[in-house]
Amino acid sequence: MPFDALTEVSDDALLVAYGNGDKAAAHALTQRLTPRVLGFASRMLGDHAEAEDVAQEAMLRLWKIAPDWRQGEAKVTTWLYRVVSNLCTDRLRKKRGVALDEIAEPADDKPSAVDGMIDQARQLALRQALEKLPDRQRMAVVLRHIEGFSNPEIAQVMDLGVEAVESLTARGKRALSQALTGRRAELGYENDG
Amino acid sequence: MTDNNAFEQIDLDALLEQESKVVVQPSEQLMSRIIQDADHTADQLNSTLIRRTTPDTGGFWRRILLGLGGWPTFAGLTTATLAGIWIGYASPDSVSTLSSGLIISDASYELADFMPVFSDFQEEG
Repeated sequence: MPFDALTEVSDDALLVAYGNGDKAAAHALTQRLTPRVLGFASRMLGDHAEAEDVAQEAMLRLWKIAPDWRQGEAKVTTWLYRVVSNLCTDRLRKKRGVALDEIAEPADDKPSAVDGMIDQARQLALRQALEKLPDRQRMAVVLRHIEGFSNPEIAQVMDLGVEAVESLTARGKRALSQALTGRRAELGYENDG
Repeated sequence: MTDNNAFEQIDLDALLEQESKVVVQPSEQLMSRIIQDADHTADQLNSTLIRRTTPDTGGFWRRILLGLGGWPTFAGLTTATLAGIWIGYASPDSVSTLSSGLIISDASYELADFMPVFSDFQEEG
């Protein structure tokens, strides 16, 4: 099947096609899912190299499950994010106690634009605040507010009840607010208000 | 929630929304590693599928074996054959007791008559 023709095909249809030997389907899935998986892992781990390893491992597990995948039974993204969350949790447990080092600088660097710098500083502060959250709260906040998952989907990814997800998200946001409130002046919010 | 908190909440939502628009671009190396994994896994899966679907072209004895029902059946047949040979060669007392009991009509036997006697075990040491 030509690569262009695959852009409209659903994830699970592509995965089933790959399970039946269609390599082009895997290429399309790689293009579609890797940035999302990498972004999630990167925000969870705060380390781009580790996030790449997790993304590769998660995608490899996806390839291996393909022959047994049943179309329509589960969402590929939910399954994949669950794998990524488990891999991230394992890695976070292993490096527990080691200080989380600096976050990668935002890609868009415009030193002449003050507004751009403030935006970058705010995003950097958000990422730093995210990293300081407990793992489960960070996962819930990232999935809900950055990856755009619904609460029932997050419940599936994290193997929790919906109420527990809501509680984690609320506590996570409250903690983020508190962390950022202490830096309002530094981040230029005093002038905004 | 106070007005001040509401203001902070709006800030946080805006920040999170902005963050959600940031796409973490995978490197070319990562993409090629993932595609290599996919191709390699597909090759493995294909070879497994081919092995599963290739008709068996084994030799004559293999076809006989499969015709009989495979190794479990063959093992049962072998055991029965060896047992038959042993019974014919050794002719243990209990077999002759049974056969004479079946052929000579009026005789009746207890289960103990078909059991080996203790002296048999003594002889075997």
